[in-house]
Amino acid sequence: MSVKIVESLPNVGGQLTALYPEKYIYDIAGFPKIRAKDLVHNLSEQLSIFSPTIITGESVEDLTRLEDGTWQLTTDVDTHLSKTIIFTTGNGAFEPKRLELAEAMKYEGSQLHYFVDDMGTFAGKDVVLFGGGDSAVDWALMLEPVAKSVTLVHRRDSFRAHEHSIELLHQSKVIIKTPYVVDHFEPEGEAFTHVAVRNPDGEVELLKADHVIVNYGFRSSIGNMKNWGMEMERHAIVVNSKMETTLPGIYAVGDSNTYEGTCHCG
Amino acid sequence: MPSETAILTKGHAIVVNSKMETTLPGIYAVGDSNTYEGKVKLIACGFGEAPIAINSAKHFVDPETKKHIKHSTDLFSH
Repeated sequence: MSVKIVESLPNVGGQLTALYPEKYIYDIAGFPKIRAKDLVHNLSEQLSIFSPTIITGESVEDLTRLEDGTWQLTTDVDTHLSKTIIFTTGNGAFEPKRLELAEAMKYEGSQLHYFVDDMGTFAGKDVVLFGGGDSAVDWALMLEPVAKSVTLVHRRDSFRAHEHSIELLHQSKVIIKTPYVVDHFEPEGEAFTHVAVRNPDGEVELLKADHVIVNYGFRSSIGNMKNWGMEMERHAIVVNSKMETTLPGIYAVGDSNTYEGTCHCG
Repeated sequence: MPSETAILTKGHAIVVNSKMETTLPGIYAVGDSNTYEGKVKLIACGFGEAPIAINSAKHFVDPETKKHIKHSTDLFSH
C-alpha cells in the first residue's frame, strides 16, 4: 500500500503549525508538555519511516467515483486517484486573511508572506510582522533569534495573546509598533525596500523591510464537501466506530468527523 | 450476582459503545480490555479512547459539565 498526503497549506501540521506553533500542549500521552511545533516535527520524523508522498498547496475541490470503483480527488492543481481515502480535514481548509492593498498581490510569494514556512528565508533579514493574535506573537518570538530585526505592528495597543507569550514578547528584542496599520509598500524596481505604517492620527512612518509577514488570522472552510455524497452533520462527516463514512472506502478521522460520544480533544 | 449488575462481555473483552460506556451505568472500559465494532488493539487507540471515557465519566458524575472540553493549551499558563 502506498500513501499520499494532500494538504492545502504550504506546510504540514495544520492548526498546530498555522495557529499556535509556540504553545505547549499538555494532553499528548507520554509528553508531560510539548510545544506544538515540536510535536509536528516529531510526527514528521515518525512519518518519514514510510516515505509517503506529501503534496502541499493543493485544495481538494471534488470527490468522484470512477466506473471501476477508484476514487478521484480533484484539487485546484491536479487530480489524484486512490482505492481509498481518509479525510483528516479538521474544520476545513485554512485560508489566510490577506492584506487589502492592491499592490500586495505582486509581492506574495517573494517578500510578502502569510505563513512562516522556512525560517531560513528570514535569517539575517529585517522582518516586519502584522497582527496581534496568538500566532502573530508566536511567530514574532520564533523569528526574533533568527532575523536581523523583527518589528511587530498591531492596530491596537493590546495584543490578543496568552499572557505568558506577551510577557516573553516584552522581554524579547522584538520592536513593537502600536497602534499602527499598514499604509503602503515603498517599491524599488520589482521589490519593496520599506513598508509604510500609519497611526490613528494619520502619521506615516517607513519601516525598513526585507520581508513582510501578515497574520490577520485564518478562515477555515469545508468548501463544497457537502456535495460529495457523504452523510454530514453540520460541518462534520458522519462515521461509525470503524471510521467509515457513508461512502465505500472513504474514512474520516479527527475534528473532521462526528459520531455519538465524539470528544474534540487537543 | 444478580443479572442487572452483570457487565456485557464478548470473549474476554468488555463491550462498550462509542462513549466507552459499558452496560453498567458509570462504568467505562478503555484499551485492550474493551471491544466494539472495528476495535483495533493499539496503544494509539487506547490513548484516544481514554479521553472519550474520561469525558463520559465526568459528564456522568456532573451532568452540568459542558460536553466539549477545553483544549489543554488553555488550561495552564505555562
